[in-house]
Amino acid sequence: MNMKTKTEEFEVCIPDLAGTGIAERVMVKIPLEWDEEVKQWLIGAEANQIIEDTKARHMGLLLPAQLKELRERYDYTQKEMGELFQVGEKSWTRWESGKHRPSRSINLLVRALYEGEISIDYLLKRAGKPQREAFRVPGSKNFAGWLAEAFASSLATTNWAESTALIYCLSADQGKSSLVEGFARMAFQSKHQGMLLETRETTRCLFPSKAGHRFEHENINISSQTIA
Amino acid sequence: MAQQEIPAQWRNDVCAILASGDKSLIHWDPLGRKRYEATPGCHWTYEAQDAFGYFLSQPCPTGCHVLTMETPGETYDFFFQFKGQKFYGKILLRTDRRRIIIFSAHPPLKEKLFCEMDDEEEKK
Repeated sequence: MNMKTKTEEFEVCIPDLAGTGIAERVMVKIPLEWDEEVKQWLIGAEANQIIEDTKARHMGLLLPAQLKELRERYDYTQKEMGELFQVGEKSWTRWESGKHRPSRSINLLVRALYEGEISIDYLLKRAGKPQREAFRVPGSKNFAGWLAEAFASSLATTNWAESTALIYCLSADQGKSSLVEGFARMAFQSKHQGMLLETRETTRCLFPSKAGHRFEHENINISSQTIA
Repeated sequence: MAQQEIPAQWRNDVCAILASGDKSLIHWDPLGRKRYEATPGCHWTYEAQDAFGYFLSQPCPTGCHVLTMETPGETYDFFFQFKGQKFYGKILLRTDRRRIIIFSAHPPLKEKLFCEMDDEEEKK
């Protein structure tokens, strides 16, 4: 059955930092649903989601999809994320499903991890959990060589999320020359040049931290030519 | 007429819908939603819905059966607490008793509930 809908403008009120006043008003278009039984237009789940996602974005809160993306970056379960931020599985699940929203204060911490401003190892340490040894470069190895080896092996298993997380974790502490060298070696060692080029195109997404900034603004070009 | 206890069957049905987590079962009246949005401190709809659930699951909450509405279903209005403030709420339980429409969740615009008003003029 086709539902009759119309679009209407709605004023979203963005709360101030104290949460007791309104800092800003933003107009959005929302769908209203016609209800034949009650003979009136109603606001349903889709419209409420548009209103609340707009508010969340303006408040700087991560959206449910971004929370899920963050969890998948580390291949964690919702329970593990709840433990990492010490909020419990239920809270994390509610945030990720959009049923509830994180507070501004906890969001600061979650966003810091999302943007690479803090390391997951730091949070693991604070939560009394073992650090992610798999992502540490063995002291005896050269970074670029190790990166090439690890990333190529990761790509071979087509675990793209893991590869992304690997590069992301490693790049935070490494200079650009070793990173570029690592990419170049990877190209020779793996059969995934296409994926590497895709990496270059999406560096802003993959490297939300300083490393991403370097790629975007310091003209580091990893193209098929330079790799070859 | 004074406020009366909101019937347990109505409360149970409404609380079950609120607790279900199924957003498709809950609709908002556009004017009621705008009023909620414009109230400082009212950030997310789930906060109001959680407060409704809490109020309606208390022993013997009181309110008024709203009889003037032409919409099919059963409507009650009541005062409830929201973040330490007195709020006015009005909810319609639809005829299938599986969906609700929230008409109001905001600070009271009038001092009395529907059934406490004496004349027709006041009820409008």
